[in-house]
Amino acid sequence: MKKTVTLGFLLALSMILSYIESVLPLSIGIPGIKLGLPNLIVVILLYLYGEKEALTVNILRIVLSGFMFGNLFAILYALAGALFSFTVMLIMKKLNIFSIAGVSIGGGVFHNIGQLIVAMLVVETYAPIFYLPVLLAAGVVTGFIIGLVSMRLMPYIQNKW
Amino acid sequence: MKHMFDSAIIDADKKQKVRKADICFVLAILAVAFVGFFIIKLQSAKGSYAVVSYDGEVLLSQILLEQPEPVYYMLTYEKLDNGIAIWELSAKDWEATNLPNSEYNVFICADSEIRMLQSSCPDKICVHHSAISNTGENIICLPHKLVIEIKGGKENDLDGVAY
Repeated sequence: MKKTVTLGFLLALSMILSYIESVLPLSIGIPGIKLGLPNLIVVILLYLYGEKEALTVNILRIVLSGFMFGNLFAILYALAGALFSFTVMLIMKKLNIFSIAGVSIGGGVFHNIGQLIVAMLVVETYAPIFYLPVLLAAGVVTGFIIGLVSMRLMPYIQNKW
Repeated sequence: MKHMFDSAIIDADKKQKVRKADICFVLAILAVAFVGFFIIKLQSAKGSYAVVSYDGEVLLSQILLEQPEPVYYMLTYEKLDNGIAIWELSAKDWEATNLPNSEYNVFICADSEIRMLQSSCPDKICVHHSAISNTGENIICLPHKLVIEIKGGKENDLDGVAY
């Protein structure tokens, strides 16, 4: 019961973070760069409960906030990046040689790679590959920020719940 | 009891400290990014023309970047899968043009640059994209499957060899 409440609470929180991210005017002339705030919840869930809970909340978050603030196309695009990123984070966590920050950085980087692959499939040209270097670097930076915050939050959350 | 508590602390400690594998991973990713930047920088040059493609098919193969006057291009999509109309407009014509009811993209070629002016797509990433003028740079409107890519420039351009 307590777990259900916690998961519901974190789902709501991740939707709010999705919304904040969608209104943040982060237009620096390069497409696809964002902070990945909702990934904070995914990383925390991955360590707090496990992959099933993290994946469920992640998919629900994308579909629900997609219908509320986005559209079907945005949902599919976000799902592709999220699933790719989630798979990599899971593998990295299972390897047991990375810290939370490392896992989060892996998630950030591979989220961007996943979306780049989808972009190439959609437009059927290799043109998007032009953005790979900047997206890799951006993934490291945003993943590190999210990882650092989760690292700091983890002890408090583990004690509370 | 004390024993169990200790191991929990050690476990939490491991998660919270940056580890060697983290640093190796970050360095590897940054190395790939750096090599990519370097390759792009090497090939970068002022482009001479732009290619517009939709869903992998070329719509406009030669938009010269050097134009005496700004040219507006309006693409209208009847449905996303068929019937694309292309309008080439002068500044004067553009002002007299109403935006269509269907989906559309409008971009301008002026001062040897191409910039997306308007789009009916939901995310507007293409409109926020900075102007492009160097070889390889591109503006992508993903919802409309539209790519505008700058080509030409250097003599040893790979595409130049292929043609």
